[in-house]
Amino acid sequence: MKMYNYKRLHPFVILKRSTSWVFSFSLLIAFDVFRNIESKSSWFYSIAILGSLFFLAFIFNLYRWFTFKYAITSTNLSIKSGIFFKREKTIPFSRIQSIHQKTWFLFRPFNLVSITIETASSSSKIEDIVLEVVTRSTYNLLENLRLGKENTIDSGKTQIYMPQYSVSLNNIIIFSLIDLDVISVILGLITIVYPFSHFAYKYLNSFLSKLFTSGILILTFVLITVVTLTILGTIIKNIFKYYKFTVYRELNHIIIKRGFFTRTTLSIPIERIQAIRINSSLLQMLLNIKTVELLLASGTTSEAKEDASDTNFFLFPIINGHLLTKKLMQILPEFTNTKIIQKKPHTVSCPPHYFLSSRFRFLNLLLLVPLFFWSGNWYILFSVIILFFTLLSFINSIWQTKSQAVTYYEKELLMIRTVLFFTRTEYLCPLNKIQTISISTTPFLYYQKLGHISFVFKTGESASTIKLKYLSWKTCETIRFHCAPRIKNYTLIKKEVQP
Amino acid sequence: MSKYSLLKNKMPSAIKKAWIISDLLTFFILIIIVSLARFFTNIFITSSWINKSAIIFFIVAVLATIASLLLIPYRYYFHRYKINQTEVAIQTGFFFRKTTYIPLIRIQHIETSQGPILRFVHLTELSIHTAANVHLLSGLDIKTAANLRTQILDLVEVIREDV
Repeated sequence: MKMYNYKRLHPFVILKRSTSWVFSFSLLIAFDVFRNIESKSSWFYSIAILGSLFFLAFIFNLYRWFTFKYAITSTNLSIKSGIFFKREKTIPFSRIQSIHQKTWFLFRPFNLVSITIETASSSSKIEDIVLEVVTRSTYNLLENLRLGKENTIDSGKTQIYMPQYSVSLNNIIIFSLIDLDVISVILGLITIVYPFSHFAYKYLNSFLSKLFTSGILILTFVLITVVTLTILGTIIKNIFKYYKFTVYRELNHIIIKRGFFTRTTLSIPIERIQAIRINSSLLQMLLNIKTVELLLASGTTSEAKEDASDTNFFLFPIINGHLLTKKLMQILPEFTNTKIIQKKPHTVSCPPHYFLSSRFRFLNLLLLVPLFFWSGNWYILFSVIILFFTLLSFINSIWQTKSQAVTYYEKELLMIRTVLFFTRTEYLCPLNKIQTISISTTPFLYYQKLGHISFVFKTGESASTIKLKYLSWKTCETIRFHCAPRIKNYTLIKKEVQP
Repeated sequence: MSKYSLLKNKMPSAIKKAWIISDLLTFFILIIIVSLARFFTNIFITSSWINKSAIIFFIVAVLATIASLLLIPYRYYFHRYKINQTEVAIQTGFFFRKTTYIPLIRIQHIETSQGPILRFVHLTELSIHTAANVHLLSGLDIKTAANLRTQILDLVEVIREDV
């Protein structure tokens, strides 16, 4: 057994944890103070409670700090914790899915960072490894060792890489507007509110109704202000979150930096990327903009790591459609066809079956039947709504069946294109990340030589499924044949188990 | 039109017995729950609709159970599996036919489990875990399950890849 050189976290962690713990009670205590603000004794009691809470937290966190030790060797990271229940964890660098490094803006002058290491544990019980407050040199050491670099101890001179992609302030605003689908929200609000106010003006002219109409007007005003405030709020949030968003490639890793108050550095090994998802909604298609996300296997939805709890790992939050292939080529040549240009991509044709794919959408029209027996005044509105949604889902399914496609690059990559909720989505995934493939059909569809194929990936803690519908049976079979992993020179050992 | 291609291996025929038992059991549990709900709602609310809806529910439950019992031969006929050098395939469904292919490289681990019903008919259930989800191969006899398990594990040992 090798001797590890165990270290403790930076002592600041005690302060940080205790303050954040006490801070969660501050609202309660403030409420207690405001309950009877004029009496001096209540102030005294509250402060005493706060102080004793802080003291308790301090003692507890001191104990935690004292017992938590970590060591970094050339191949793995190991962590020891606890006195009564001793636990030791060892994480080989090869099993790391991604590393988050966060710099809190108060700790920036002290060169202190927080490191979250994610592995692909399938159950949520296995928590991620968080080194909460360590010096930046520790992170650099970890990164250098992990990337297999020469200089390990001296981390003062780190190489400066040119950012290969960055987001401007303007783009962040556009991104947050599109992400919210603000325009649809506003349009929806106007369509809801306008006829009501109109109706109220026209038909209800008595004094009471005037009160009523002004009430509605005030309500609309409030609604609109709320909407604008939320829009502004998300824009500001996104500006802080994606401030100086830069992406670059370093050896076999992708490094993404972002954030204003807490600067986050995310580094992901290329071979850990499960798939790349390229989204373009209707609005984005109009502006020729695309959003690119990375799908990773590490689970990021638990509460313990608040800041890392984004389920979306944006590679390019917003990018021009023309630039996309160029940028992908620069940063992720593995996911473009440049590396495998000599092998011809095999595009599988998916003939659109307009009627088949949309036939069940017409079942929505059955909702119109009860309206004939409806005695109220609103049946026109309801029928219009039903017709509208039927039309929408019909158009969506037509678009879906028309645009779905599969392109297969020899032994490397699969490109799947499909449409979901008026968003055209393209998946680029390495063939070895597809967990299972299933083909399904019904007797009726099989009679017409048709079937559905679905691919399952691991994203986060759960699986995500991509389904292509109404392909010809032969297409399904060829796709499956191409995607199945090839294993050479292995014969099945027939073993007889003794009963 | 060629016939729908079925995989090689059928489940042991004892699985039919297990399905019948589980159908009947769920039926009786449903009936007990419905009658209990009716009993307790009758204490608090008096309405003729309670009895009517209970009767409707009862009829639906009877019909569903009968249909599911009648479909057991078809379910059995279309419930198949296959294992070869590269993958495990599981086929299910009479109306909604589905074949799932699990590459052996992607298998993370394998579990065998046995509930009371399966224990009664001396069968066992094999659950194949990939990184993303779990596939159940229910109702193998114990010897075949053990055999399959060792086969798959042998293969997985040879060709192991990380997530």
